[in-house]
Amino acid sequence: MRRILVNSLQRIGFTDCVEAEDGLQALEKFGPSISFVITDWNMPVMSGIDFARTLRSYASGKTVPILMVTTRSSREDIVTAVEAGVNSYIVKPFTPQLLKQKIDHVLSTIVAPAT
Amino acid sequence: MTARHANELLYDTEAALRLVDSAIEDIREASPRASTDTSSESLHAGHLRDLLQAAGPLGLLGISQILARGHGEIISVLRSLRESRDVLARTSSDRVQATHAKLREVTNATESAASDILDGLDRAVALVDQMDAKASDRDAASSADLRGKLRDELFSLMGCMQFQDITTQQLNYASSVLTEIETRLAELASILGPAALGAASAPAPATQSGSVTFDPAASVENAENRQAVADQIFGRPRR
Repeated sequence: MRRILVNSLQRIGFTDCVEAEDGLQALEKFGPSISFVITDWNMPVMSGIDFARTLRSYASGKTVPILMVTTRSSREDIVTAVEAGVNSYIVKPFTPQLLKQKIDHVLSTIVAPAT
Repeated sequence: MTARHANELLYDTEAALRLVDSAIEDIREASPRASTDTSSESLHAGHLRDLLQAAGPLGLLGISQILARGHGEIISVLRSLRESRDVLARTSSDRVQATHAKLREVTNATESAASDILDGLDRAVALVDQMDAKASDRDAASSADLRGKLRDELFSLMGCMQFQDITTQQLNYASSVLTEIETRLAELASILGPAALGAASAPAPATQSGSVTFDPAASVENAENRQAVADQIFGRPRR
């Protein structure tokens, strides 16, 4: 799934991607160079929702946009994602167009435009 | 062991229990006083006398026949339960394990196939890119348009590969359900087959290792509607 996501990102112009196999590895790889986070919910070791919560608890991770791409689509799960600090949400299966639309939306509304 | 056999056992067990219940009811009807009076005097000294009196025309012989019939039915029930225990033990150790193996096989095969297809698509896209670079100037516009369409088509196939992620979660869910059923069957089998009966105990159920990494409701259907629900919730003003 990660591979499809990376391919889709490259297709829509985002070629500089840092990949992680699970939430814990993503936390280890997170740093100032990461300007956007895309995560699944169901991951081994640390789930995407725990990853989001942990990332939001870091001073450096409070404002970075988080997009969740997952099969989970119950209202409870989506509300949980909102409460965990996720900025946008894609229900699988998705299209590259939807991915681009969500990324663009997050970048235009959540992240303050650079001056 | 077939499902039909298991059903027959269940039917026999139920029928036997009904007969025992009927026999107990016969005794109760014949001895209403004995069954309701719980004083110690009645139970100890006068219990048998009261029972015989209450039995009336049924008499001691009738009561002993009812008891004998009840005893026989209880033995029959125990035999059926023991046989049911064996069915449960075999089901948990053989059929569920085989289903687990099949599910794992499907998961591995699907993942392998999806990976191979992705590799092929990667190579195909790279080839198209090379063709693009080496295209002659003649009809360059239409050739480029065709290659662009081909590239889009190949890329959309990559998106189709998302099915593997979703079906893997579905299969993992099915596997977890089977594990739970297996555990319950093994527990039931151990209750029905105490060591005193001399039967071999049921094997311990397989336990699931690692954290749960699947969505029980994972589906490839109605993605647009589910996305609309997410958009609606994410569109609400944040507190």
